[in-house]
Amino acid sequence: MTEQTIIAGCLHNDAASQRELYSRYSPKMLSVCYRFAHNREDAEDMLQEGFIKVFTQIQTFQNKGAFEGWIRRIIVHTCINFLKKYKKFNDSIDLAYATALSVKEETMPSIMQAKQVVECIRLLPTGYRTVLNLYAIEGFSHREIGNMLDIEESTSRSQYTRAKAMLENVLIKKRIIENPKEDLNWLMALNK
Amino acid sequence: MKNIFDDNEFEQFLQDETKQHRMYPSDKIWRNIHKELHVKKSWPALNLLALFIISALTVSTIINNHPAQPFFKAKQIILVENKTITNEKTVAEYRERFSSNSITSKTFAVLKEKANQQEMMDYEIFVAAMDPLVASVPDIAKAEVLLYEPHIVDEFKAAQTIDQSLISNNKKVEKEIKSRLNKDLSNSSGPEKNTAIITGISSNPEIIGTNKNGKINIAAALEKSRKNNFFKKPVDDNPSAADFENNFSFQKQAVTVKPKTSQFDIQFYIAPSISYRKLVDDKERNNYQQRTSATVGPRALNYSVNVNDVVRHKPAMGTEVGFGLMYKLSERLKLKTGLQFNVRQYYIDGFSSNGDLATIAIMSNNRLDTVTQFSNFSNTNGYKESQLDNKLYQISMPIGLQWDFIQQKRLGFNIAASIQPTVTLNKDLYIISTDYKFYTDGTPFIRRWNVNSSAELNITYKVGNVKWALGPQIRYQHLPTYTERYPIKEYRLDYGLKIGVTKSF
Repeated sequence: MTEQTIIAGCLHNDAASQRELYSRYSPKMLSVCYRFAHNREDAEDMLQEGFIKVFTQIQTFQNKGAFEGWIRRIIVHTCINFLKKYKKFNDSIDLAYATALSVKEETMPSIMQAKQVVECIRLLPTGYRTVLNLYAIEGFSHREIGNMLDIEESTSRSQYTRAKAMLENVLIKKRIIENPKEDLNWLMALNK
Repeated sequence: MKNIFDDNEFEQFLQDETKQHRMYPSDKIWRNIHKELHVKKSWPALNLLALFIISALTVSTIINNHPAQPFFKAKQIILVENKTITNEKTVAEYRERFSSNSITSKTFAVLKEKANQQEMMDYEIFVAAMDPLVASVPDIAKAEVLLYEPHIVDEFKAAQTIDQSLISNNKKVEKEIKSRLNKDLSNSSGPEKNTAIITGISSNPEIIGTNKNGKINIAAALEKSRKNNFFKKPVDDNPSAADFENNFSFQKQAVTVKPKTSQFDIQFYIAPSISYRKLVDDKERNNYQQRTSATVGPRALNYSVNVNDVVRHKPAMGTEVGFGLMYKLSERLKLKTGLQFNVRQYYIDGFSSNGDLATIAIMSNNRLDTVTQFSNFSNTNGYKESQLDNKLYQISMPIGLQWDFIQQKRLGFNIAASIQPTVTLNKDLYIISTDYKFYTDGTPFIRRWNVNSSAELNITYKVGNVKWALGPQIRYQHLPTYTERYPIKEYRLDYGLKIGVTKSF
């Protein structure tokens, strides 16, 4: 089934086309939801809510830009609304959290890296995680994020800076990225 | 901490990594979405349930208003209007019930309404007929006459039949009473006078008849009625229970012209049950595979292990609830049918997994194909233990026979068996993949129509006019839960305990 066929079928509320669209995009979209959510159950709730919106609002898709991108925007907005609705932003946002994160140092096979990066993102407090997801991965500007989350643009910037630092710390501990200080120590040892 | 990435490298790194990440949602998410989008498709199930409930209510209403029971119906009118009345049958209680405190004007209003609707019995006609003659007689007095001197019905009925104008003229009746009984009523008034009129007519019905130039012969009409045994003599001042029953016999007489008892029984029942299932892996698929040169289908098709040995299924509680109509073919043999709602389920133990592809072989058009579906529920391993519920909602129409092989005054035993055309209402079931490793959505393979059969043995006990039944039953599903395309056949079997109540009408 081509994408156009699927869209045409969905416009006629055809269950087979809807199922095909869902099968095609739900794994990616659940991954998006999972990065925003507290747990898998919340992520699935977001996904369900998001896809219902996709199917009921598909007539608003103008064929401008990628269809996947259109679905993704709906899913992301659904995630944000879900977090607002259930007041998931309430957990404390503290830079000290970054150093207090209990992350075991380990080496991951590269094949698992994508999953591990997602899991590391999910270790962040909800507020940080949301800003980081929206800015770094989904590509929204800080102004847009401020509007979406009802916060100041400057707040979005500062939260992103902290989230980034926090995530780097986690990624280093997980050995997903290298610590530049360690590289320097190795070089200095060679020189001696 | 020093930023280890250069400008935009961090964002690019995250985008690259997360772009590769996939997660597979559980089946229920799609089912929920589908349900939300296609609500109308769920309505037939609700409609069937509604039909089931409405049918049950209709049948019970018909029973309570069966025309073959006018006597009980008529008596019920009075009883209903007198809230305090119960079913004990003693003369004293009857007298008490119909005493002046118990009969209300509302009672008479109901009776008169019935009379106007031509749905009346003789004594109701009486009430309507006597009304113009003794309009001022209190309702209580009318009720007493009705209950203790029912023969008066005859006079009034006959009079009404012959000449309606006659009974509408009090003066003529008074004159006749005066001349025939030598009793002058001109000085009396109110209830006393009216009671005297009634008494006079009661003891001398010809008072009415002779007032019409000899054309009317009330006495002859009365005699004819009595010969036909329509009316019995009134009870005396201190009647026995038998007398009292006889007093009502004119009503019973009316009943006898219609069938005395109905050939039909109605039964309501519920049967909690334990549901088991048996899986049979269709060997026919091997032939299919040979025909297709073994190039189509999963490797797992070559598995020789018994599917029942590799799954972990647990029986679960189900239930059947329904009503049945029984027609008496003979004193002991009954034909029965009805409608029944069934819930039957079993649990599947397995593991939640991160998602994998489940391969299912499909047999169709003399060839073997495979389809793959996402599954995040594994039969063998996963990140946590989970349990699925394979639950069926069905509506059946049992058609069968019941034999009452022991039938005593109260206690009895019967056996029954039925064939049950069945429609399955839901589709959200799980099937196991052909390699027995995963459970996945079985919606495309659900068989909508099926056939069940059941057998039961009941002990019955009669209490009043209802019969209670209790006994074991077994119910077997003849066709697999899934269509012929799915090679692993599932047959369901329920063991239940049936509790029923039966009433004749």
